[in-house]
Amino acid sequence: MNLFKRSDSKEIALERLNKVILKDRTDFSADIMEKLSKDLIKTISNYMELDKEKAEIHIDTPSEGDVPILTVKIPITNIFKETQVD
Amino acid sequence: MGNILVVTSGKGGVGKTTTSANIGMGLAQTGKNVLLIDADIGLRNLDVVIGMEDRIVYDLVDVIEGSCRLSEALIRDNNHENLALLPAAQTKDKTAVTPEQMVKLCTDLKASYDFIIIDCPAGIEQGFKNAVAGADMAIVVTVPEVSAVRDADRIIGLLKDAGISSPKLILNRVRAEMTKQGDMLGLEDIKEILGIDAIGQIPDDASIIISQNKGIPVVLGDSLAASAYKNIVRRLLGEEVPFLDLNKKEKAGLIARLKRIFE
Repeated sequence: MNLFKRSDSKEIALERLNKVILKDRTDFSADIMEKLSKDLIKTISNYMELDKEKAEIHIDTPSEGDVPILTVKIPITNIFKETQVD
Repeated sequence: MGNILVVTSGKGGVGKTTTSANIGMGLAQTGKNVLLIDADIGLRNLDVVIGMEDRIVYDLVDVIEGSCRLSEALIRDNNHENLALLPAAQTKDKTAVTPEQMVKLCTDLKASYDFIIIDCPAGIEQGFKNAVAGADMAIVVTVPEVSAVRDADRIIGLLKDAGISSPKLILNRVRAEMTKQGDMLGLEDIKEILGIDAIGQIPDDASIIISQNKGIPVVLGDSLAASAYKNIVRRLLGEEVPFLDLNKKEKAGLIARLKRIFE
């Protein structure tokens, strides 16, 4: 690093801040994740039968600086559920 | 009916107490009835920043526990009768008070003051919860550093959870020449990241340190920092005041200082 060059270190600070804050904001507590899982399962169950026990729901940031992604993996036990609850 | 304002930051050492003292004193200067509450139980500081440390007999915990009357714990400023301090306890810890007790205290006091300013401890634990419980407005103080802004973001989230949805930002310790050089986060950058409105920015000014050495809030003087605090007070009172150009004024200050040397 050349110390005599005009550094613009603010830009580095901005970039790091944006990343870390985005991550902080999506770092849900276990409590909120559990609520989200319940709500999702409840809604999807209106359309198909699910294996609730094997549900996997999490938020990941694939690589540093990426947008966080919500991944939902729930095995379907019966897709042709006849009675639709409203 | 008064306004109850909590001054908070998440990170320690960014200037919450100095901000509380100067806003409180600034409001008192305009004739408002002001009560400062130091909610940092166990680490009281507002008393020394405002120069009242020798006059403490009772404190916040004594009032809440009923060991004294409220009027016995309040310390009036010698020069401004309309400014009072309710000091924090020094020998207890944050668990000596509950959020419910703070709400009750604030409700009881609300009618007697135009402004109640609560100086919040650093952190997000019980001390924070106590300090925000009774407040209906918040000021978030931060400095132009990645760690402090990050903590401010977290605090803004927690304030929202506590029902305080639009806190106001104060950016403290701004070094205009570094901002200009591109080596310091500026007010606009930080406002955009945090998504809240600013109510002022304070220059990193030697006068603030000198005033704290003396226990006299800087707002009582005529430095650039004093003007910045006075402007925040005017904005709190609903006035539209343009933001100071810290760069320009700082240069003028330098010239004035040079002049003094040659006189």
